[in-house]
Amino acid sequence: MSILLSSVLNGLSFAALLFLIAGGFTLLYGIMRLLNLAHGALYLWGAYLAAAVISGTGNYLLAVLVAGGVVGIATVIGGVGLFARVQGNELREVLLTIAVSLVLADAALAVWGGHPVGVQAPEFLRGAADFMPVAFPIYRLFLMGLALAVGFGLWYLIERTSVGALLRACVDNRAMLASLGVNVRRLYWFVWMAGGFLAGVAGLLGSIVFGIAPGVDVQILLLALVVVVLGGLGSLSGAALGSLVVGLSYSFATVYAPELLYFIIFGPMLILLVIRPQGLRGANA
Amino acid sequence: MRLSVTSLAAQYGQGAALHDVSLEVAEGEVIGLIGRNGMGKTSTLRAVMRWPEPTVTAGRITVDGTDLTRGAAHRPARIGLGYVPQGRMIFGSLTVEENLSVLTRAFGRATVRAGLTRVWDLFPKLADIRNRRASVLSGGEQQMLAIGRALVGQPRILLLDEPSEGLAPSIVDELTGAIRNLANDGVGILLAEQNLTLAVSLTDRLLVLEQGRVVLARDSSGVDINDPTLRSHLGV
Amino acid sequence: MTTLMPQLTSRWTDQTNQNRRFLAVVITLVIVAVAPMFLQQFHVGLLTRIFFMGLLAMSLNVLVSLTRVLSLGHAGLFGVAAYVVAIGVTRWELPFLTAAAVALVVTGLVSMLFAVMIVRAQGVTFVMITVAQGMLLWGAAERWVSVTNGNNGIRGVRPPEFIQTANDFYWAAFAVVAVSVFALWRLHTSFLGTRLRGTGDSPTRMTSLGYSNAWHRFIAFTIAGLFAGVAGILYVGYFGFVSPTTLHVGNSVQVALAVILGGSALFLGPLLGTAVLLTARTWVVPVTDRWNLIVGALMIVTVLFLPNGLAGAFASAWAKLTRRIPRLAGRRSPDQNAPSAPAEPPGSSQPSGTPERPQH
Ligand SMILES: Nc1ncnc2c1ncn2[C@@H]1O[C@H](COP(=O)(O)OP(=O)(O)OP(=O)(O)O)[C@@H](O)[C@H]1O
Ligand SMILES: [Mg+2]
Repeated sequence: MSILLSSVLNGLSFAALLFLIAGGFTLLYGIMRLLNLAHGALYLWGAYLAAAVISGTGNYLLAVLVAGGVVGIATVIGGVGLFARVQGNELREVLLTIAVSLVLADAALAVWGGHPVGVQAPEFLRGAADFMPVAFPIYRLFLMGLALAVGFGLWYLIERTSVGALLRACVDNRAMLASLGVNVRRLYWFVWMAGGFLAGVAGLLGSIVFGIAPGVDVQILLLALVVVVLGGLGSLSGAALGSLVVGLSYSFATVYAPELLYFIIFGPMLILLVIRPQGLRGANA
Repeated sequence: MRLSVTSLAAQYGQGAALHDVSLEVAEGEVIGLIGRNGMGKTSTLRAVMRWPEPTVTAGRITVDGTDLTRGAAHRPARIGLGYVPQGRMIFGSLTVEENLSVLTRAFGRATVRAGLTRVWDLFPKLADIRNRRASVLSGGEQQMLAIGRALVGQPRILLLDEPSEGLAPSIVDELTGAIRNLANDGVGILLAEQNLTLAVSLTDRLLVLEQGRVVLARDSSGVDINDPTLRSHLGV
Repeated sequence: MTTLMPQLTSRWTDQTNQNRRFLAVVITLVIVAVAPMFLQQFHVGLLTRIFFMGLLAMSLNVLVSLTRVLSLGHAGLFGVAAYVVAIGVTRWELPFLTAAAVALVVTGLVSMLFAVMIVRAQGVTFVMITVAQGMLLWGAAERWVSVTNGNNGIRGVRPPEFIQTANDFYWAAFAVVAVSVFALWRLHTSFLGTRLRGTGDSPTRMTSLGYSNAWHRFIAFTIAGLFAGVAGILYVGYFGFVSPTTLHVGNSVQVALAVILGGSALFLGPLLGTAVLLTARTWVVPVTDRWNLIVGALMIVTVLFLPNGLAGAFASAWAKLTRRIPRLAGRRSPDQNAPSAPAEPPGSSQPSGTPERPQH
């Protein structure tokens, strides 16, 4: 009973974290149709930057701003500088994001070294809450709340604000939007920035759970990939759904079938891609 | 304001679509660009609006001496060209009003507010359905929205690509009236059309496009719809 | 059939061009075959690795240059073959060659299974499915400890008895790779290859001609997987060791880089890319730990500035040269490996089967 309950809670909190991790990834795909395979490397840099700020100042807010801000700005620069040349050519875009991720991950290794780094949650989020049979870390509860807040915030931004209307129009028909007088390039800067910011902050949030070490970037990327592919590339509600599916199955698999862990995560994704390539909630592939 | 296109050539990838297109539109003028399917009407308008395709390989596009042949895709609209594309291309996931207000950041709040009033005046039908999702509109309503959307930025010259395509005659009449009103207000109009009768009735001057070249230019007032040369070019 | 010298004064014809090419191939083969006698151990090893990793890249290029999709799970199929051989030799105590045969069958089956999954996918979806496939195999290698020995990998895979020295292995690998490359060449120039190219370049026309795109994608993926398997068998024979890293996405990425760096439009481009990468690696690794950074930077430069890879850049430089000094080269245009366009309905004019040309 208590194993079941703790598996469910673990699964939900993991799902929340997955959703936060996948946010920036799904945003870039949703708006720009860019499959950003450098997402994990951006996360890694966010994590290292945040860890450095925290160990230097102990200020978590500053850590969020530095991790999100630096990674966001770097993403804008990289995006505008590199991707303008290959825009519209999917395969070359993908290759470029892979190349960038190799560079970033190796640069992180050079700068921060190969030792695993642990990051603590801020003071007020440490400790555990009691749910009769199980005690559950407060930080993980916080993640669930944050995921709900971020999910709602993104939904509001996209569906209810004027920037959101611009973004939706851009997805509908980019060339048309530009020929109406909208500076689509500037809009893209915003998207690059937002995607990078979310990836960087996810680095902080995730490193408190997973820690930081070389190679984390690939794992994070794969998790994000599975989540958004399951849900439907570029769809916010799909990412939420995908996170739940992966979070819960991961949590149960680690307890009940550790040898099959990867089959349980990647298997459903493969099957889904075959029978429904657009994902659970995607409109089109 | 005057739009001048001089010896324009353009291509999709390696396939040439325009070879030699020259035309002029000034404020208050209505110019018709006619030709059969695939002769380059849409390509001409797209080149002027700096769409990603076709790419211009030769010739010049200027507005009052300002060169528009190169540069960012949003410049033509900012300079005062409005574009109503073939197939309407309204933003289906936005509401009717959002389709118009989405231009706030491009043109400023005041301009857009004035633009909204103008659109609701011109097409009262649209005002009634302003909160409806654009994807569920009828063809005629979509066309009105596309025209309205092009007017939000207060263009001095409007490029219209086959606005009558696929619409019922009564709606075409309504649109024709609206276009005539715009022309009377002094907006210059470049109208790409296959429907010769409509083009003759609306325009001051007709240009015939064939295989990416302007092959014939006539004043509309003197044009006889049964003129054999004209009809042979249009293949009717 | 090869009259060699008399053409010097006559006009170059297709026949003489073919003869020249045949001669060049024979000379190259002979040079490569006798090379180990004159090389140090280290270089023999390097060349051996270039052989089988180059074959891996060329097998990936079946997908890239013909059906126009990029797999990022290709090292997975390579790894399956390596693992099956390793398990066969160490666990079941099969002779190496028997294990290799089993490995080919298994790799073929896995390829076919994966191929079924990709027949409808294109572009980014294809990339993602293949990533997932690769990760699935990697996950199996890492987690299925009872069979694969997990992260420790499997050691002690001995090549067959008749291979005693590094030079022996070199010759064996050379023979296997040469035959495979020849088979791939036949594929690229055959009617099947043309149809595969049609699937990549103009699927709608393939459909209108009555060919099934899905079927051709299936075939291409299976063939690519089989040759990756051949490379994997050589790999495990050479290193005697296989671990989950062998089939990791990172490895697939390096193979993809070899393809685009060398140039996918030219038949031997991927081999060239592999040679450049592996050679550069032997220089870089002793000096700095930043090999991945260099790989990434190389990849950025390739994607941005060398759309047809090094081979494409050489070809266009060569074309410029021969245009300027026609006599020097004795040919009019650079070597185009491309066979002519696929069977087309009479009257359709656009060429469809031609691969990307090097830029001029
Ligand atoms: N996206 C495209 N890619 C390649 N070629 C195109 C593309 N769009 C148009 N073309 C070609 O360019 C030429 C001109 O087409 P265009 O659309 O300008 O003609 P049009 O006069 O607008 O025709 P219609 O009356 O059918 O709208 C045609 O030969 C067409 O096949
Ligand atoms: Mg048209």
